[in-house]
Amino acid sequence: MQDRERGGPKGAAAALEVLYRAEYTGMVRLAYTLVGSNAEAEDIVQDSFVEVSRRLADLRQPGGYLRTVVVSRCRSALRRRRLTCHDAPTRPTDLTPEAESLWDVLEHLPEQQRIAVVLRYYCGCNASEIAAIVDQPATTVRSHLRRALVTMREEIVA
Amino acid sequence: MSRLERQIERDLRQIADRATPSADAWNSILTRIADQGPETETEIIMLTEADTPTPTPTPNRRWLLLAAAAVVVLVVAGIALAGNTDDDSTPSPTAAATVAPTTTVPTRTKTVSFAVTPARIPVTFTVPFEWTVDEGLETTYKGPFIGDVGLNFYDIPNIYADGCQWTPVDPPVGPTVDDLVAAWANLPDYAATGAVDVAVDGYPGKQIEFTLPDYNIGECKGPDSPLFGLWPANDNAAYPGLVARGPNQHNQQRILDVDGTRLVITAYYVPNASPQDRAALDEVLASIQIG
Repeated sequence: MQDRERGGPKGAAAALEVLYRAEYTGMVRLAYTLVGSNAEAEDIVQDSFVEVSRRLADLRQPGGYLRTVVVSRCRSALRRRRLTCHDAPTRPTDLTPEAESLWDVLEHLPEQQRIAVVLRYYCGCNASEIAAIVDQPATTVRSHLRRALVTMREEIVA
Repeated sequence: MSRLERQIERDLRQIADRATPSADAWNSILTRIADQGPETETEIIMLTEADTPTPTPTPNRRWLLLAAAAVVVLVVAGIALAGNTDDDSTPSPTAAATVAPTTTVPTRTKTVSFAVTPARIPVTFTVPFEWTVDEGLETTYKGPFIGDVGLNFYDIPNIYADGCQWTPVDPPVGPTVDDLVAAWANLPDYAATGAVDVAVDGYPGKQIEFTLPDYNIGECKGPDSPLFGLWPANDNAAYPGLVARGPNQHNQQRILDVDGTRLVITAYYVPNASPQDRAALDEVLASIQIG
């Protein structure tokens, strides 16, 4: 029997490393689209891996759980930023005008709309999947997406 | 999918590609795990038959089944975890058994430390393993977002007379424990109890309880989503330092004098919080150490 199957420390560490190799880069990119800061995104994702490491052996879908933790922590970061009026992150200088426009709109979207948009259009999640991640009804998620699209239709450079 | 949606997809990928994950992130993660020190994970597993423990099908069973023949206590350190296939949304691992009936009473906890700003008063306590810890807001709660039960530490500068509109009491609350107790007691919509003496880890203070009004969140103020505030932030009075989970939330406030600095410990629960969650909250409160 392998150590992983016994749930031993070596097995858990190996499983975490597998998860890291599979998911780390993608999770940092997801977190970056949500919080707009590379340092903050890495901090969030690394803390999320620590959290996942504690219960890795219990999870059927560790990647899915990791994404939920990352999104939750990004939401906390966005909420904290708004509550404390911290400055928004600096926009990268090498984006196309359309992407710059999207960045600016994302910065001003309410956090729940921003999360819904990123999960829908970056991660490819449907409303039910987003609802499970953010712990909200699917109808609420659809409402966030509709409102966000209205805003983006008005604001984004076509 | 509309043209706009395709454009959003494309531009989100471009934005995401600007992230630059560091090459040594794996070592950083290992360091963070090591820095946390050993987790205090204690599981009490009661088996009616001698067998190899395997996963429990649902978390609730652990709480429901109490009669048992044997007791095994596992103290697991670091990331050593026992086998389990719980659902991702409620990952409360145990090493329970397929044999029936099986009883597992989990008391897995993690130790949390905050330095409560602005005086940076150090507090340490233990919370259930699955609770969320938000270091920035010095808050811990059950669930991925603000949960039905939770705990907050704050050096409260003032309180709101109207939490929905974030209107502070005027004149502002004075600096002493009794000043804050009196301010809460005088809020007409809060139905505060009388204050009683309390001590937390040897530090004296007062305890007062109240229930928030049955407010309509849709009428409340907010930077984007409406929020019911409890008090202004101590680093930016324009925004709340803590927001409520919901109407009729019950708060237990312990207002302490920690060597001349006022420290407020807020334990809260919503009206439909489960007895188990409230009991867990009581255990967290009992574990608090200051200093």
